[in-house]
Amino acid sequence: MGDIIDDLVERYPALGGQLLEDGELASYVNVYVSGEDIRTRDGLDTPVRGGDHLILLPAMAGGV
Amino acid sequence: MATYRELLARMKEEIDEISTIEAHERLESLDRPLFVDVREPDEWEEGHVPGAVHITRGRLESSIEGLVPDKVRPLILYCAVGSRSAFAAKVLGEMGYTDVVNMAGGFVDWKRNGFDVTIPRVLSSEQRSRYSRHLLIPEVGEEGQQRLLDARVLLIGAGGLGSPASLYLAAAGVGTLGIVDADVVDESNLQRQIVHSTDRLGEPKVLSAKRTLEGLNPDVKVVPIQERLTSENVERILADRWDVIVDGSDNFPTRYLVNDASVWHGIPVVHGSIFRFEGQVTVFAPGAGPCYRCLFPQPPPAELAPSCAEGGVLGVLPGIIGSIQASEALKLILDRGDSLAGRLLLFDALSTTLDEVTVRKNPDCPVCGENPTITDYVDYVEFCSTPLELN
Repeated sequence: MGDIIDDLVERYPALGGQLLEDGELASYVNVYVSGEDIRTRDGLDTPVRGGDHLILLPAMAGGV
Repeated sequence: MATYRELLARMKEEIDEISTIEAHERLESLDRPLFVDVREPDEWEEGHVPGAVHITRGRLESSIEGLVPDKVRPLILYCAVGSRSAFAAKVLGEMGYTDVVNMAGGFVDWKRNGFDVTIPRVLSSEQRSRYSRHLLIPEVGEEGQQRLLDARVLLIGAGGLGSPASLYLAAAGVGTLGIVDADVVDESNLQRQIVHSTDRLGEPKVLSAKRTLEGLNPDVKVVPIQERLTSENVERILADRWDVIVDGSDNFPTRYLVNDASVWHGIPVVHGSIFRFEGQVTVFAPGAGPCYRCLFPQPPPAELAPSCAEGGVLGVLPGIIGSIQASEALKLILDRGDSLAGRLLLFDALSTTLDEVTVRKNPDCPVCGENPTITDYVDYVEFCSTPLELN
């Protein structure tokens, strides 16, 4: 998963500031590999296989 | 040919009878029998033996096996004076029920002895008509509708999410809706906040919502709380015994405050949030599932988290997410189905896709974890604006 995020940030540098803090995944962003939060697995070392569905999820507070 | 009197006398010889005093003693006994009331609905509605079940004489044969499958279960049958139930007792004996007695003197004698009586709560004919589509659903029915009428739901925000959520909860007959919102109706709200209207511009949102919701359903009492939820007033507002909280607030400090308060009070929260074309919805059930801090331990820095006021929102989006919130709140009240606890639904209106991710309880959660480090309200504005400390 870490490699995928590095690749994304290389291609879209502005994403870096939104996803990462000191090279680590920011604590206010959740990343899911096929529905499971990578923090409950191996973090950025979580393996990703072909066909896996990835979600980068920022917290949102809007309601009105 | 036999007359009614002859028939009744013969019937009474063939069944066992006990007095109301004996029946009352058995109500308190360990092998408490089931009381079966065979009177007409209008008689039942005026009062019955506590714990009794009601099957009218006309439906006895067709309904009793569904209600009492165990044919050795002790049954005490009664009607008004003990005649209709004598015939009923005879029939149950013929159907294979082995421990059936008739209560001689019936409910009239029961009342004359001053024994306890339960007056059933029944829906009025207007309510039967209004909620007829609920009454037809086995998972709701009359009992479920009574639960809804007794229920108390607190809505945080009478805006985009609070509008559809409160409209559907009111229409469903949720008896008490508390609404917390300090704002007044603004022209820019009306693109999505459908509980308000153009003639309410400048009116406090809680009063505008109260008018709409009580106009929609006179069974509903709206408690307007024209305040912004804060650490100072949250205990007072939550002291009112709410069954469910529907969180449709618009900022992170309120989200974390609602979370901490709900965990400490043990009140489930139906959480929804929206931005542009995207919505998130889930249920936080204290004790049974994760909380908001398990999902998002920290809020993002303000510059990365634009509000709808800054970033915009498709007007219909809160209609979809707020309606799912209403549906989850009704299920929690009815205790039916599988709630969204432990699951976060992600809706994208642009692609019209619905994703689901798993939310797990974090054992290290500072509020609901095994060793909580936050046990009282903090300064939520400061908590949401301070740079993160990584540990």
